[in-house]
Amino acid sequence: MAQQSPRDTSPGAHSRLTPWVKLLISVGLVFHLFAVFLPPLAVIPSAATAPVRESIDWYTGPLRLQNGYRFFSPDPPDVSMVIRYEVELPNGEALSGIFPNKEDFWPRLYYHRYLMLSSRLQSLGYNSRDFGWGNNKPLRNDGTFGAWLMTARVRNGEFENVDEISDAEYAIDPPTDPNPLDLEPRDRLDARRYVESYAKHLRHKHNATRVRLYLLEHGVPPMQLFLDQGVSLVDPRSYRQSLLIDLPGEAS
Amino acid sequence: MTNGSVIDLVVNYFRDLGRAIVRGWDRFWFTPTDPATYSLIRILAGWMLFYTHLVWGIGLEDFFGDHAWLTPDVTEVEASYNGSYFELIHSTGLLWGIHIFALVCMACLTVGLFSRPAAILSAFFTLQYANRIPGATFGLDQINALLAIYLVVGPSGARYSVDRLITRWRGKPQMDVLPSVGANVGIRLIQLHMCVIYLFAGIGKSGLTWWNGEAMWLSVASYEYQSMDMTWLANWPITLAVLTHVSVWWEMSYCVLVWPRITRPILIALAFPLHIGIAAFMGMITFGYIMIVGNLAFVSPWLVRRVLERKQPSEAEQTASVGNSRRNRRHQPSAVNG
Repeated sequence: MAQQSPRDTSPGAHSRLTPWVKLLISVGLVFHLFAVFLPPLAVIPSAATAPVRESIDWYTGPLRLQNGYRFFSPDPPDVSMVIRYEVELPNGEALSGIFPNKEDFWPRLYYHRYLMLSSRLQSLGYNSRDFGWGNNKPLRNDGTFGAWLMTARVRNGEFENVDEISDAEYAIDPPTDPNPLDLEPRDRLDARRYVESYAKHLRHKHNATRVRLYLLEHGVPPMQLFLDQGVSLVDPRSYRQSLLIDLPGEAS
Repeated sequence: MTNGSVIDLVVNYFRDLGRAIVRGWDRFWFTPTDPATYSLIRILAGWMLFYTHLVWGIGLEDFFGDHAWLTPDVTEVEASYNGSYFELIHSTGLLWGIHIFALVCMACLTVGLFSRPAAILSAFFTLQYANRIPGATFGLDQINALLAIYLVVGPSGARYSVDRLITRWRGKPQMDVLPSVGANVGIRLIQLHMCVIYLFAGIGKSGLTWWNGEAMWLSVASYEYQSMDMTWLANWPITLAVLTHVSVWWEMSYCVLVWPRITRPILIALAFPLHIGIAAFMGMITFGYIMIVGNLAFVSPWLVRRVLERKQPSEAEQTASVGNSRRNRRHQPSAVNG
């Protein structure tokens, strides 16, 4: 507590720290500021920054200073990652869902945790192929995603209610894209481990006999397309689906 | 001019430079300051630490249990993974017990009860949670962590705290809260860290859309982030482009323009619409909030006291509030800190 004698309130009152104590504190401050500045500087490592950064990992790591602070950089993402799951239960029933899902996860901060889980695939090196907005294979009208998409489109003001949406509005077709993690397995190793971990979590949580995860890449419509055609943010053409993993039950 | 006089000139220059740096460094770090701003940040950051971890509680076992979304062996592929005590916890009861204790510590920090130990424990728990599952963290957790750490440095409970009330109840109402070096160091560290954050946030925006003005469109039209439909802005492309450019230039210039007294109020004032916009339109209320809290480190303790205590501090208090700046010599209070 800063409880001291009232006489110390004189203008410009200085601390009673000795020069040696100040020197010691100053050395610590210089080191700390260096540790704050270096990690974002070394996000793209150079021959000069990489070894120095590694040498202070013991300090920057536990204090969570290894941040790049490059929010929405170099560009905001034009494709979001959403994960859809299908879980087969021991009694033969199935359940499915997607994350992140604004309907399921509340409050917003909790939703954002799931948004980070799905977005992690992007930051782990899964750079989306050229999205080709509008040329995607139509999505499968399965129970979960189809229902979710209809709800989203009603909420988005495109339709009064779900009965107005015909099958043609979200065409029916099975996902046929290859597993993106198989395309360049060497670069996607970490992303694959994440996907397996997500699937194992669901398998354990539901004692599932099978878990399938699908990646839904959701493109942001280009502004001109939005203006010219009035496409919605949840237009079926803005999604592309691919199978991420098909994990059998533990007994399999 | 002889060789000797040139050498003297150079030597004198570096001697004066060295002395100026030492004097400036000493004044910048070691002049005590009124802990009002620091204490205000304790309340606001403490609340966000509490709320953040309260929300973790909704999915505590899903994120921190033995069979979490990300198990430790997976998370360790992250360069920033540093382990945590969660790896040693295999009991649901213990997991919840420690979680509740962490929440109590953060609640104590917020209200300023046992402020120093509460600050230390809150920082410890904040880092442990973030270290366990970096894959589910984002900017909020980064700012939470730095504020939690810097609240350990000084007397964050010196003002606006239960600790302060207890001191008064014990019959020492005459004891005033005096300027503190620890509060100054804590505030300075927050200020400098905010500058580093904005600098790299700004220069990192090197992509095409931040320069052709379309980045703001990508931000407001991302369905997964969107919390309020702002796509009508597509009809205002010049506005979108201006907002994009202002965001980048504000971030890039922050670390320079926030220090001169004449430009600081503008920089800090711009932080509010920027972060409120992120909070309201992009669903990151918590992140927008905590960034504004970080910016408050540049607000003068004099102004904080004037607003919160609704009284005009005495001349001596005003001077102490601004004690760590050049204003100190003129005894002129200001709304800005530094």
